[in-house]
This record gives sequence, C-alpha cells and structure tokens, in this order.
Amino acid sequence: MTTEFHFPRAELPESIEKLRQEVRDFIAEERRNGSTPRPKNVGMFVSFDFTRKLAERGWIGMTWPKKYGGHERSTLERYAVTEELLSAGAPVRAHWIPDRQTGPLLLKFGTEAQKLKYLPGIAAGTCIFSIGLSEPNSGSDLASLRTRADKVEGGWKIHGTKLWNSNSHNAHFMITLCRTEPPGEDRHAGISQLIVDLSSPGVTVRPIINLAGEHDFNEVVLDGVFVADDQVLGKVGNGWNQVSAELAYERSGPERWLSAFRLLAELTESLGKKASASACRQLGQMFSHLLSLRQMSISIAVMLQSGSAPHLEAAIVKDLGTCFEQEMVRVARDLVHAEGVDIHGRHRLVGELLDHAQMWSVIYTVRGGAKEIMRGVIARGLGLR
Amino acid sequence: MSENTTMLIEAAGKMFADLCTRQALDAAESAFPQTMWADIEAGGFPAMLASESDGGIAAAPSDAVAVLRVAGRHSVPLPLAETMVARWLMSEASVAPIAGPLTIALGSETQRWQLKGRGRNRTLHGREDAVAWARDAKSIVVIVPKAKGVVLCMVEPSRFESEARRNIAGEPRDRIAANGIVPGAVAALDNISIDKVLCMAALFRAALSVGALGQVLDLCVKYTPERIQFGRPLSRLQAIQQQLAVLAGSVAASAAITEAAGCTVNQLDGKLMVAVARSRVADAIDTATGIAHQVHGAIGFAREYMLHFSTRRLWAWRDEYGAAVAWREFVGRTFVGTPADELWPALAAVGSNG
Repeated sequence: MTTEFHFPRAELPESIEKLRQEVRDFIAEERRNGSTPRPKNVGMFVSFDFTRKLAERGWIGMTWPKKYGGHERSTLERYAVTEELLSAGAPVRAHWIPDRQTGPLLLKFGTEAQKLKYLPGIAAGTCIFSIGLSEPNSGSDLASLRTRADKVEGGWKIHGTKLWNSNSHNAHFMITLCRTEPPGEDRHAGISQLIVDLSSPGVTVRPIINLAGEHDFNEVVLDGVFVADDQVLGKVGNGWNQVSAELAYERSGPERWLSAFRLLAELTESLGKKASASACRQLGQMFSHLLSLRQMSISIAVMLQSGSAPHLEAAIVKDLGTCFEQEMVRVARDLVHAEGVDIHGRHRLVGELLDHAQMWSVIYTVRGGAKEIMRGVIARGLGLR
Repeated sequence: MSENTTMLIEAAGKMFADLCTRQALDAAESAFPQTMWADIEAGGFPAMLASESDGGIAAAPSDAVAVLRVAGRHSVPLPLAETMVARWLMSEASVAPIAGPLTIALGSETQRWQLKGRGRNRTLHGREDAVAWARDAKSIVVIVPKAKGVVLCMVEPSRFESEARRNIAGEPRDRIAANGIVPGAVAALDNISIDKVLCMAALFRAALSVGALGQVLDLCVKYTPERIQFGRPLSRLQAIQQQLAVLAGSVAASAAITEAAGCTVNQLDGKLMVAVARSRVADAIDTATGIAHQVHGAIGFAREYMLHFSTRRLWAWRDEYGAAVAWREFVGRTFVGTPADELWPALAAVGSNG
C-alpha cells in the first residue's frame, strides 16, 4: 500500500525556449522604454495598454482555436509565457481571469454562439470577465450561496449579492454562480452559471478597498437583473461541476508561487555578492522551495496538456506555494534587517515591495480556496475523509 | 524509466519488504546482517551502476535513485548507496570489482585525504569522522582529490586506526584515521571530481530519505483510522486531517525534486539540483517527522512500533554527505547578488543546462 501522490517528472520541450526568449525580449523593451518599470508592488495590476500589447503578440487565448481568436498553441507554451509574465511582475490583471478561467470554461461548456461572441474579445484583451462566486455569507462553503435566479419568460431574473469580486469594476461580464432551484437534499444540485452583462439595469458594482488601500475587489449587487436563456453557461443545474473544473485552472498555475517573486528578486539583488553565509542559507532554502514547486507545476501543466484534471495535485501546489510565499516574506523581513539592506535609500524598492508583500501575503492562503479547504481536498485524496 | 528499471524496482520492493522485518532491523543495529546483504547483492542492486563487464547493468543515476527510494521506504540497514557509488567509481577507473559491501571515504571540505610520496611507495594520510559501515566493508574506497579528478585508493578497513560509532539510526558511522598506509590498489580517475562523487552520494541520501518519508506517510494513514479516541477514529478529526495533508504535500514536493535531481545529476549544473533537493528534503524531514510523531502519540515513541526506524534514519540522513545548511548555502551563494531581472532566467535554467 502506498498513499503518496505522484508528480511525474516532466520537462518543458526545448522548443519553448524560443517563445520564452520572445517574452523576455518584450519585457526588456518595456523596461527600457519606461512603459513597464520594475514593479514596486507584488499585486497584479491593471494596464489595458499592456494587455493590448500582449494580445497583439498572441499571448492571450494562446491555446484556443483560431476561429475563436485563439492561437492554437500548447498548454505548455502558455505555461511558459505565464511564468515569464509573473516573474517580471507584469501588469496582467485586466485579462488574467478571462484568459485563465473564463476562456477554458466557455470552450468546455459554452454554446457555439457564446464562444463566437466572447472568446475573440477576450483574446483581443478588450472583453473582460470577472468571476462571481463568493457572497457575504458564502466563502469557503460556496454551496451555501443565496443568489438566486428565477425563471421568467425568455430568461432568468437574478437577485443577490456577490462579494470579493476582483476586477469587476473593469469588467464587462461576470459569470455568476447562483441557485436556479431551491436547495434540496443534494446541496450541490440546482446551481447554475449565468453570464451577466455588468451594464444591465439592476447591477451595482461597489468598490471594496483592501488593507493596502487599493481598489481591486468589489461588491456586486444584482437586483432583479435579467439574463436571457442563451446566456446560461452549460446546463442549468450543472453549475457545481462546472465551477469545480474552473477551480482546477485557478489553482494549478505558477501564480501560486510567483505572486511575490518580485520581492525575492529585488532582495536577492540588494544583498549583493558578499552576503553572509547565514543570508545565503536562508535564501537558498527559499530558492529550493521555489524550484521544487516549479517542478510540480510543470508536472501539472503536462497533465493538463494530456487532458487530465489534476485537481488533487493542484490543491497540493496551491497549499505549498501560498505557504511558501508567506514564509518568504517573513524571511525577507529578517534578512533586510540582519544584512543591513538600505531600504530607506539605495534599496528603497526592496522596502516598498516588502511592505506591499507583507500586506498582500495574508490573502494568498485565502483566495482561490483557503488552505484549510485545500488540505481537506488532500486529506480526501489520502482516504481520510 | 525503462522496462528493465520498472522490473528492477518491483523486484526491489518485494525483496526489501520481505527482508526488512522489525526483528531484522533491530538486529542490524548491533551486528551486520550478512545474509540480508547476500540476498540483496544476488539481486544485482549494489553493482547496478557498474558496467556490464564489471558485474553491473550500467544503470542511470535516476534508476539508482528509484531503487534507493524503495530501500529507504523499507529502512534497508545496509551500505547499499555507498556500494553503488564505490562500484560505479571502480568501474569507471577500471579497478577489478570487489564483491561484498563497500564504502566510500571522501574526507571533508576542510580535511581531504592525501597521498604522499611517489609510485609504489605512495602512502595514504588523513582522518574522517562517520564513515558509513567502515567496519563492515570488504574495502573502503578512499577518494583523494588531485588537480584534475581523483585518485581511488582501495584499503581494507582493518588497516585504519578506527573507532566504532553509530548514527542515531544505529547505522555504523566509524571514525577512521591513516598515517602512512600503503593502499591495496590505486587508480586515477581524471573525469570525475570529488564534487561529483559527493553529489552522487548526496543525491542517494535524498533518494533514501524520500522513500522513508513515503513510509512515514503510509504509517500515519494506516494508524490514524485504527486509533479510536473520543468515540471516533483519529483520522476523522479535522485537526489530524489537516496535519496529514501538510505531511503529504511535503513528501510529494521532496519526491518531485529528488526525481528531477536524479535525471539531471550528470548535467553541468547537476550539483545545483542536488543541493536544491537536499534542502527541500531536509524541510520535509523536519515537517514530516514532527507531524508523524504527533499524530501517533506515545506509540510512535515506543521501540516496538515501526515508525522510529524511518524517523531516526531521516534525522541522520538529513545532514550526511553535506549538511542541509551547507547545501542551502551553496544554492543561495549561486544566486545572491544576481540583478533582479536576471534572477528568474537564472532559476528557470536550473536543471536544463545539458
């Protein structure tokens, strides 16, 4: 008997290096011409200009069919581009969720008309989707959601409130998870995904300022918002299964261990070649975690490429990756003081990143599935529940 | 992994499980298990890295990693990793194979072994702490660095001044010293550095550790559903489930990076991947042994229960063939001071520098 989870050894094909270099050259040019300077913060930020440039290069919707505006490249090619953008701290917020989640979801469950309507715009970086999952009283326990859609002639009327919606204030649409039947014995039944046009009457998007003083997430109130029948995504009542598939995309990417990479990068530079043995040990420990996570992420990318849905493996990477990033912030804080990094002068950038990462890191183990939920998924995989 | 390797690993799993009973492991902490060695040697495992003409199968390091992972799972109380390294080096240097258990003596970074004099009158000088199974080896392969490569000196253990000691897992780790021994055989190896030998030995410790970590996880997953407290199995308690999920994650990460290090050890930056693996494995050892003993409660502290055979080995192996702190320092030193925008390309290239 063995209960170990296996991440098969996987390597990215040599051919990807060329694409990787193209992304690096693009970022280097952005740095040179001042459009995208070295970031002072670890969050993902919105730049429609940057999003447009990526779309022009074919780096949004990379894996989708050409007839929907995609570029028919491999999952592994997309993975490499993702790594490059995240490690550079690129401002990819605007299109990140539609590219990562909405697109694959539409491709898997959408009607032909929905695919033709939305995917080309997403790939062009002009059509922005946000996700509508959490509610004031439904976070980790998502199935307890109360937003409901009542059947009316030609469509549905939605009543409810969605909360913690990242980027909804910049978005045109929101895929809204709601009850289309009252909760019964199977609490996962009777849930559906509806595509809400955020410019519809009855939609109110209110900013929620985070503890860093930034406007990233929102409250979206839906007060009798009409959604036509042809804007139901997938099957009515199949929302829970659809959202589970969506979360596998959300959890498995390198964003789970590259969110705070800019802090590590600037810190590593600031310590200089003559850093103490103790600093090198702590830094080495962090790099070792990062490279191990990368090995696992590449393994997952290969699994996704071959068509499997490694949700358990994704939960492991998410749990390990987000905990690593929190630990990294703690190590960085000690290191700047132990090594006398001049965070108020020459290395101000390190200080700014450190403060920003300190604030953002608390959410790493919450968003996209709290670590306790991830660990519950893993425990189920071990056969303990 | 080739079909041959898969067969080899299946054979190893069955053989090691049969041989490594609790009684056998206990006994091995006071006397060398000769018959167990004979069985495992007959299975072809210790010589697997040697060429076919030297009694091996010219296996890849990644195959040895896979076999050692199985050995680690079953706490095989033998110098399997050491003999693999020794037989590989001897084969590379065209030294006639020696059957039986072997070990290696690398010295330390501050005190390497030295050969003095010329030709047949060359004599071996040096001392080393904690040489694995020195007393039980048919021959100790002492590795002396030279300007380019190493010199292998084959010396019978009885010729050293020695003190018999053991690590916390009860495995022989002897202190040996030589002040002018004439080695039995001497052979130069120009294309293998002492660093490379250390890497291979260190990689093999990681492989053994990953196996033992898997065993620790299995014991927890088997024990907690059987143990009833508060009217239900421990495994039904969320506090326990959460801990075991953390344990499983660190085991999976260690396995993934060690497997990768096994595939890249012969590349130019092979040492870096080994160092990364050793650092990650050390963290997993700290996490896993702590959680495993906590969820087992008092029984895990009892000699009669199997857990300690794995956890004591893990604590010992964590810092053998380079301590975890030394491997971490090597990784950190490799990158520290790198300009911020060059760090990612440098990290992403690790393990792909053929």
